[in-house]
Amino acid sequence: MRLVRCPLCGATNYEHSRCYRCSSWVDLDKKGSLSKAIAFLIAALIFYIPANIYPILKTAQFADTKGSTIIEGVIELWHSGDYPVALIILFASVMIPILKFLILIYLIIAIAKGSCKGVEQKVRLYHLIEVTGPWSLIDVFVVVILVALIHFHSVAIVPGPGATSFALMVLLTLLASKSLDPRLIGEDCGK
Amino acid sequence: MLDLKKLIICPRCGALHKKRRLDFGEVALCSVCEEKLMQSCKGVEYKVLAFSFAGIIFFLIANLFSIVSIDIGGLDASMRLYEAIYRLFEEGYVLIAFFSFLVLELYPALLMVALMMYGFAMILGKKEGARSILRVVASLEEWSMVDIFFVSILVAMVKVYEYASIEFGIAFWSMAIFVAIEIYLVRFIGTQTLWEAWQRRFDEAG
Repeated sequence: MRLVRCPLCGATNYEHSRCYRCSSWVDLDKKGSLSKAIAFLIAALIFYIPANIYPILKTAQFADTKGSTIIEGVIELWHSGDYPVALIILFASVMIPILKFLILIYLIIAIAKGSCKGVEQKVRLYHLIEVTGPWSLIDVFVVVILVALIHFHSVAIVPGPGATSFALMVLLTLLASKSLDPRLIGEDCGK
Repeated sequence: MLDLKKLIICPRCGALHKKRRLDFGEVALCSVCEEKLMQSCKGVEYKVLAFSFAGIIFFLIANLFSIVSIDIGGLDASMRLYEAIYRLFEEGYVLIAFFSFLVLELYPALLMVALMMYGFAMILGKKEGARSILRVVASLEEWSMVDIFFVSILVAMVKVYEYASIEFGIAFWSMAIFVAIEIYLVRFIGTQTLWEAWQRRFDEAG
């Protein structure tokens, strides 16, 4: 009988059983995990497009309304000289989602093929996207804050249609990485 | 049959280890990849109880008072957390408003209450109660995003500081303390340690 680590509480259990400590199922479900992850990933990729082409923020000054997309927001911050913040946003909103897509696709293919090469690096990549993933939401919360603070008669900031798509995209990638079970990486390799 | 309760599998590399009783402040690392396996769980229920109680108080302050107020050439505005979320709801962005409500209000509040209940259940010796609360904590901890919101406040202020004067309110500082408490409870102590403490309290005779 093989020993497995419980996905919820980390206790050691025999496979095909309920965890003695937290009573959740401990078995690896390769097919279910992969298909859920792929489904969330495809949905996230679809929302990625409107998230980037529609403005996430609109500034209404008198009769004039100006929208700005995520990339435009970064460029604006860069031009106003706030280089560190521009880099943080560039990293959180542009690089992390792309990195997440690439790593998730790579891990899904590796698990589906049962690849045994560089298992430790793959686990490290998985933890990298687990930790950095939620930070893409910075841009969404910035919209929440600016919309709440700046709503005067002469000037107001309102959310743009891209904001919902962006939030959904981040949420779906979070769900994708959470449904991918990291214990599947390098499963059946030298055990 | 092996005694499963005395074994631990490394979460990173899968190597099997035998548990050893740890002294106060001791940390056990994996012998293969040096990942943290477990840490001493002595008296952890008292720490959790104290910190989660403090967390609830700071969470209340962070919600009831203004986070930040700005002044743009005579026009002034201030913002409370629930006002910000409600404003987005009014704008018709129901999905983001609902999501923000969950990850900024409901889940963090439930997480702190659940951790406090864990502390009480452990001290009062309620085995099943502590078990079900821990299951709740484990599923909530990843969905509290007050820390990300806190960084977002700073980023938003960078976007407006050129034409507005900014004053941080009491809720801002409370939120900072709440984030520190939450990171301490969820990252430094972690549910893993809470499970070990539970097991030691109720399962082991000696």
